[in-house]
Amino acid sequence: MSRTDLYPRGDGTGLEPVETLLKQEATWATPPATVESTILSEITGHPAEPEARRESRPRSRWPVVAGLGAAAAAVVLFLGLSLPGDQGAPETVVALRGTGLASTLEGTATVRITEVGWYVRLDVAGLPPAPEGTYYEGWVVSDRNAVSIGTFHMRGGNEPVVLWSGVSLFDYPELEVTLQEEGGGFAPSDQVVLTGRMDRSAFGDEGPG
Amino acid sequence: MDRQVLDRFRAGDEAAVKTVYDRFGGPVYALSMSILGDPDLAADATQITFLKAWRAASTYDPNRSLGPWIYAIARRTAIDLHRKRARDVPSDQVDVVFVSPGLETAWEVFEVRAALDQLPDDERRVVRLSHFEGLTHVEIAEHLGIPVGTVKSRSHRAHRRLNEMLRHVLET
Repeated sequence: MSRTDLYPRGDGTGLEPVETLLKQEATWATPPATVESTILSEITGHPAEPEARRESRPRSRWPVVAGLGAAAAAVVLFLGLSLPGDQGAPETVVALRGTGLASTLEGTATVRITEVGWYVRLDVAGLPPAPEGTYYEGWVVSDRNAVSIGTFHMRGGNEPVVLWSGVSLFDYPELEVTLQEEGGGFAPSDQVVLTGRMDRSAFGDEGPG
Repeated sequence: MDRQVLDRFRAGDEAAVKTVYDRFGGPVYALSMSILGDPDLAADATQITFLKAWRAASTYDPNRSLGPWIYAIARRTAIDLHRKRARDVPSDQVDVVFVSPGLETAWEVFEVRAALDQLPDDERRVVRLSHFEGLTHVEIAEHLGIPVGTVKSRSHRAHRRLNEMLRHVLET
């Protein structure tokens, strides 16, 4: 067994000059998903949730989810209700329900049509941080296909997560959140955490005919 | 990044900004973390950097590489945030008096992270596990549940790609 089999780091890889950087946390650090959403919100003229990234809601774990069920259920009443967005853009709130991993988990997805794509804000206060080596991924799903709308891990708190879809939710009305293994490929895993369906009629005349 | 995106970015196109963020968000955040050492401040710095870039996009020359332009904004933004935190340090002297181990290697961190982000996910995972987590090929294979030979081939490809992408850094 060669030395690189035993300790396949800087030695012999040609990366010795940057080995120190490859070992430091900063090099691998991932910005919170809210950074991108805030930037895009500023640019598109839709104000981001005020201080969303700094909100410090109490962090909940799976066992606590059941206790939140009743409160979250009240939010579900918004299902299908079309509301004007911050800038008058049409939006609706979709109820999300836990499946499999957390059947009592509930939350909402605020869906808004913008000029650059579909804004999808997930509010799921009871969603725990993804275990190390895994992450959450949002999907919009049609009868035939699933399209990723972004990834997140919830390790920095329980603030809302904003994702963006480049495909129309009129064509991909199902929303899903899955738990994905890092390095596990690009397809949605079987570990569906949350699911919901957008009611296209909620957009009224904004809908596709 | 193709010329069409750069032209649209220069024109202030929102979708192009998202494309630019997808490409440089990680490097900017890594650079900010390296200089500031604080996740919240680094997030602020990243956000400010891209908003500054968007507002100044018309001054960007699309014939030049976008990375160094974004890097310059990000570095200055991180230093300014550090100065605001530290207070009492005049802006024009900040480079002289600013002491941060991250400042000296800011460009390298930016470039290394940019290269890492261009690796396929499975190769980046192997590089992270070996360099950052300190695992051997055998341990990585066990961790990922894949054959050692697969780890070796991914590692080999990843390092070859990184050497190509980072040649300008490695040779300095």
